[in-house]
Amino acid sequence: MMIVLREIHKVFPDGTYALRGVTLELKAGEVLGLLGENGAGKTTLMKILSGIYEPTRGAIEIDGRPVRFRSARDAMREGIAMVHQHLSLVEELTPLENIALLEGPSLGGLGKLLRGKVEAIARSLGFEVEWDRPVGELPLGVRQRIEIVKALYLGARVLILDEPTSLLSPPEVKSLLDIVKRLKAEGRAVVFITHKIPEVLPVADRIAVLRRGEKVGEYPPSVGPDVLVEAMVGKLKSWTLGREGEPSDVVLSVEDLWVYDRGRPLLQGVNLSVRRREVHALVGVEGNGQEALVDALVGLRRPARGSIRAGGLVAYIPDDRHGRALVLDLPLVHNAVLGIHRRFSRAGLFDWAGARRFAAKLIEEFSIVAPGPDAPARSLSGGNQQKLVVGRELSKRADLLIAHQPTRGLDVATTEYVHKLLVDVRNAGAGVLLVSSDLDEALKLADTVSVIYRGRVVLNKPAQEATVEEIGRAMAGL
Amino acid sequence: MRGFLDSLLSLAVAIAVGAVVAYISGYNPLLVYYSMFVVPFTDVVYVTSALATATPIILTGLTFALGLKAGLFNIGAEGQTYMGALGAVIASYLAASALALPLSFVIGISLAVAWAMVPALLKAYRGVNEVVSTIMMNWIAYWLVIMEASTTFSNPMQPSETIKMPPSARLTPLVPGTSLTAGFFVAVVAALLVYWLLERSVIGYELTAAGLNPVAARIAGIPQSRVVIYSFLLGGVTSGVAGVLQVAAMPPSYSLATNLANVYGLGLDGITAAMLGRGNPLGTLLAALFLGLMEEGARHMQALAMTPFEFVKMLQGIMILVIAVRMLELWRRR
Amino acid sequence: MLLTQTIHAAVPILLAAVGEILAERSGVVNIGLEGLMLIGAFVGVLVGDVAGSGLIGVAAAWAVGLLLGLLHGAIAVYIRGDQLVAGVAMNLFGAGLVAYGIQAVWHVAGYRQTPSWALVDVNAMTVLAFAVAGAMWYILSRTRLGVAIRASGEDPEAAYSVGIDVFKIRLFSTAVGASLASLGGAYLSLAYLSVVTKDISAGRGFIALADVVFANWNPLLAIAGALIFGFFDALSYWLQIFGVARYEVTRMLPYIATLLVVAGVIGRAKPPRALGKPFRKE
Repeated sequence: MMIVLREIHKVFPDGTYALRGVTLELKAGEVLGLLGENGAGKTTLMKILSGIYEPTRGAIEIDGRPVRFRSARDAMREGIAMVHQHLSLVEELTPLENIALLEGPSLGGLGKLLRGKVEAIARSLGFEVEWDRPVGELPLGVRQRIEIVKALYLGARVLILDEPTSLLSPPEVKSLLDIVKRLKAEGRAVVFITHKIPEVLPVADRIAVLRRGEKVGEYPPSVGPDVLVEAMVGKLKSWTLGREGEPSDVVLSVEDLWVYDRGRPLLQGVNLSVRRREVHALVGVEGNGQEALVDALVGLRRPARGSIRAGGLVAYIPDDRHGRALVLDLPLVHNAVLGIHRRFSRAGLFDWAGARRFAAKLIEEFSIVAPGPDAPARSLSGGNQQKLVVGRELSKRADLLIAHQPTRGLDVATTEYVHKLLVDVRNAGAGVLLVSSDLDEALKLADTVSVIYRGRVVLNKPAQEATVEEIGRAMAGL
Repeated sequence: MRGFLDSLLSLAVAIAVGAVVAYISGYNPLLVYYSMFVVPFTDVVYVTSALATATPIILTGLTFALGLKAGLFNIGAEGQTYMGALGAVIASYLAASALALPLSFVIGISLAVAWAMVPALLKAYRGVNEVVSTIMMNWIAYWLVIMEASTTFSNPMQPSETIKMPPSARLTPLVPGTSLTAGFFVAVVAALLVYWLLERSVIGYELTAAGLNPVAARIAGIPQSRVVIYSFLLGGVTSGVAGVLQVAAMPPSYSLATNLANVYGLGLDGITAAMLGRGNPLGTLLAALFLGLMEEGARHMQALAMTPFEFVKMLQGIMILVIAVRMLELWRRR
Repeated sequence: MLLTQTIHAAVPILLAAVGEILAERSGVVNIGLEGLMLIGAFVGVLVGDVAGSGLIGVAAAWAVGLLLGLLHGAIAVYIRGDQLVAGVAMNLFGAGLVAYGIQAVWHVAGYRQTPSWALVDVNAMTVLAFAVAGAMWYILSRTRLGVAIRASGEDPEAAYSVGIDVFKIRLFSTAVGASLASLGGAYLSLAYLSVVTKDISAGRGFIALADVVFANWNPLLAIAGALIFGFFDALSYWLQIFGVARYEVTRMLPYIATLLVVAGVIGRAKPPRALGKPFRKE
């Protein structure tokens, strides 16, 4: 069996050009490693192969025959299955019931035939599963195996594993790699999507590296991690914006922070500090614990252990502006004062005149394009909504600003603008914690760089002393 | 504007469906609607009667609307109204003079607010669903007030009623021969106050924001518990006033019927008004006036078209059902 | 006998609760149970009277409930509207319709005795109710249909990704669930109380909602909950007869009990994860 993805382009409705002419081949009995950073296009490419997306241009061929997948079911019929990063198991059901779902809603029972089949598959892969405990109670490594069994139950010849190790403990990673070897021995093809080099090296026959929607190259694993890192992150110019003043006293101190989610540690003893006049960039591929850290800092998650000390007022630019920062159905002026609304209180009454003046000032100062202060926030474009949020948070004149993916989804001009604002905040004497998966952005703005990997801070250096390669390696787990 | 048209449309559909039902039941739809919508305007007495009917509905409607604004489903107006009425009766018992009027409001509102605080605290601190808790409180209030009205405060000369409001404490008809009292203006002022509160006070802002996006509100320093408690508190006040007025401003009896006839169903009517009024105080006011008109008309409909009074209740039910569908269909097209 | 009375009193709550458990397990919340019960009671007597058979009346009530459930389901699933508002609308509509209907059809104000030829055996319906509860438990926990229903309510995205038609499942569950509530209403008018009044349900629809939470969405536990509430319902008559407490106080008891239960239980109850959230195919 030979699968070819030929000259695949993918443009999304919102204009994102995710894949730019990627060609890739896949053979039976082979493990292909697909490497790249966030946004490189690896998941998008594989979602096209597994039928979830359709390519804007380009073709898929199986054994020379062109095929078109309109849904995941179509791809399944050709034997291609994808195990997603966020597992699609219903946690409240048992593994057996989850697989029973595949048989459709009939009045039939959950009997011996089904059980026999799945147990056989599991045995062939060398593991056992507790078929009658709710999935939610099972460790993530086991859940992943269930997903693999699910794919094989439907007869998959090609298994695509999307960031399969991001949720696993080291021994579980080893088990997974053993399973991958068995799958290969059975003659199936496995695509292993990851950003973690040490994990893919031992199993892959070939490694393809994507960057910014293009295939940089294909390499045998023997080529070594450094070549791969450079292919992944490229040669970045680290240039800095005008910085004035040196970091002074500490405004945020995080010590030995542990955060758990249902028994799984999201943060494992994180130590971090941010000082005044410092942009501290915390970089890492999404899903390595940054979200939990930010949640803990703003009070949405309670740490199991450790301490957080923030000296002064905290401003927060969330990564999800729709859910966390704005009330979309309310007018701009209402949103402009959200969080600082008490400043407009005159003996319990709202000083709307003052609020409108404030909103007008924000609109002007931050060049927000909007019909007026009474326009519903929903009507603003994403970039302008973010400018509103940023402007609002900046006007708090806080001592600490937490910016979580502040330029995600923004156009180039707005991104530049936000960057400038962040540096201004820093120069004015506040501390900035920039949590970002965009290495370019981080290096451009940071005084200090930390890398978070699997819930731990694995690097912590002044930006000037850190090399791109070093950071790339830390992000990739080396 | 779109909301107003929406309500209008649902009214039209309901009228059409109602006409069919009336016809099937053997009544003349034209006569039914003529007597319901036209006749009330033919005499000042009828108009004032409609306004008087609307008075408590404005207030109970505000209770539900205040809940909706905060993202809650407070259907406790019914029970809170009973407690307000009980408060007026207690005041009449304690004070045989004009003092009974202010005392009625004090006791009535306090009782109603206390009644509202139970589901409020259960929701704020134990996460108890307010739909179930408010309904339970309604039924407990029902039996409690009936018990007190027919025993402790029963009128020895007229056992089907409680003791009457002292004459000097009564709110008398503004126009002789009608049932319109100052109570109507109290209700209108209340609606304006609630509107003003929501638009112009800090707590109004917090309530509105939290009702639309509780997560963002929490991050912005607006705890959900505060929102719940304030919403229920204000709602309790308005329903409490409604209950008091149904005793203190109810000619000719100025007392509470022991079967709660003068307060029964006001909570449900309020919900109807608030939903027709799209959940905002001024809309609720208008809708309540309209419902008052409909109910006044229904009395004439009974006489002229021989149609049972409950027809108007069914019509209201259809209106809300259509609104529930229409309103949501518009949402889909967003 | 207090025990028999408890069991008989539990039936309408059990039926409505089991129906709502089905709907909520699939992800749709229907608070219009009160209205459905009223309509079921009314339709049951109306049709049973005219058709001369209580059984036909029961069937008619069940069918009307099914149709109304389809309506609620369509609103919840396809129009993706506010399920709570739609439920309130159902209650208002039911109250209005029944109040009007009693007047319009029989020209009496308030209540109508169920004619003897339209009566249905209380014990037969009781057995039916408990059988339905048992069957519902079996279907939900031991069949593939039940697995599909539960998946739709917990994680509709995951269910959809493996080919489950979440929309159809939710529509079906809501419709059947509503039909059980109206069946409970028919029980009230055709078997248990033998009258139909404009507020015959007396809050039972909401007590059923509380029972759903109490039962942690398990039909077997719903039996226990319904029996508890039924006990207080029956108790009120007994306390009255023995003059232990005033009539009104005894009537308050079921509601106070419900309130206490809901307040106490709420911590440990775990609703289906996607309950009340409309599902959108991405």
